[in-house]
Amino acid sequence: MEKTIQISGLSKSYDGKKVIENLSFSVAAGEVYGLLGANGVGKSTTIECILGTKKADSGTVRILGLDPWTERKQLFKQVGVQFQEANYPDKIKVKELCEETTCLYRYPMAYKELLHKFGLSDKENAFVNELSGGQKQKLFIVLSLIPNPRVVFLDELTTGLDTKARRGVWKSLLELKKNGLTIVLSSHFMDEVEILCDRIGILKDGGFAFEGTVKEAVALSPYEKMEDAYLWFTGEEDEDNE
Amino acid sequence: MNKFFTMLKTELKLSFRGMDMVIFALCMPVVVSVILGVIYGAKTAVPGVEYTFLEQSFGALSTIAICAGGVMGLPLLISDYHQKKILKRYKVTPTSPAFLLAVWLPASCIFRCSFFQGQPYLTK
Repeated sequence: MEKTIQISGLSKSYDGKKVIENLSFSVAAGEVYGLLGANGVGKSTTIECILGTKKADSGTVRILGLDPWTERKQLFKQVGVQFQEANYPDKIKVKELCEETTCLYRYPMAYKELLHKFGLSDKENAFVNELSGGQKQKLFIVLSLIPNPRVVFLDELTTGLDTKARRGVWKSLLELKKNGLTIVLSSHFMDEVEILCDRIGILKDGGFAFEGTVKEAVALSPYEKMEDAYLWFTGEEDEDNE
Repeated sequence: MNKFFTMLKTELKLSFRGMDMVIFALCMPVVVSVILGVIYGAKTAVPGVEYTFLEQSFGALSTIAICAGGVMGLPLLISDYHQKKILKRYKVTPTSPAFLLAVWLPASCIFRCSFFQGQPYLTK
C-alpha cells in the first residue's frame, strides 16, 4: 500500500559538509512520525527538504503521491506546515493573519474555532508581535491547521509552551489524528514523543541512529526511560557523565 | 478574487501601519509642495510665462513620489519579506510568493492615486 509520505535517498549538504545523507523513511496515513536529534543535527533541514523550501542535493520525496517541487500547488492544498521560526509581517493582527491564511484555501477550517480550541479567542484583535512566545507558537499551529490538511508538518511544536498549553496541543492533535491526520513532527521533549508518536527516527551524523517505535527504542537500549534511550542512541549520554 | 481582495485589504492596512509608504508617498510630496508654495508662492516659473514655479515643479515632485514609493517600495518589500521568511511561508501554500508581491502593486497604486487626488488643492 502506498505510504502517505515516501522519502528515498534524501541528501543535503552545506558548504561541502553533509547534514543528511541518503535518508529514507516513510509515513503511513494517520500516523504520527517524530524526527528527533540534537540541535543542529538536521531535523529542520530534513523537513525543509521534504517540503521543498530547501533544494535537496539528491533523493525523491512523495507526499500524498505528489512531488513537492513539481506539483507544489496541488500538494499544498492538503498540507499544513508550522515552521520553527516565525514568519509573519510586522504590525499584523491575529485576525488578519488568520484571514489571509484562510483565503488561500478552498475548504479551510474555521479559524475562530481553532483559536478557541487553542485558547487564543481573546487575542483575535491583538497584534501578533504583542503575543507571548507560547501564544505565538499556538497561533502558528493554528495557521498550519487552517488548510484542513491531510498531512501536517510541525517543527518543534511545543517549544516555549507551558505545561497546560502543551497538553492542550497534544489533545487537539490526537483528536485530529483520530480523523486521519498524518503528522510529521520534530521535538526535543521525550514525554511529547512518547504520547504522540507512533514511530520515531533519531538522527545522528546525517542518518538514522534508530528508526521504529518508542517501545522498540527503549527495548534496544540498556535503559528503561525514553529520554535515557534517546541520549544513548545519540551518543550524548557520555557527555553528561564526563 | 476573494483571495486577492482579502490580501489587498491586509497589505493596505500593513502599509498604513508601517508608515514608510505614508511618509514617502503621501507626507513627503505634500510637505515639499507646501515648502515650495511658501517659498515661491504664486511667482511665475520664469518671467513672461503664465504658469507658476509650483505648477512647473509638480511633475518632478510627482515623479519623485512615484519612484520613492513605487520603485523603492517593491525592493524594500521583497527584502523585508524575504528576511522575515514570509515568502518562505507562501512556498508551502497553494499560492505563489509572487502573488503576494503582485497584490502590493495595486496597493501602492492606491497611494499614488490618493496623492494625485489632492494635487488640485495643493497648487491653488
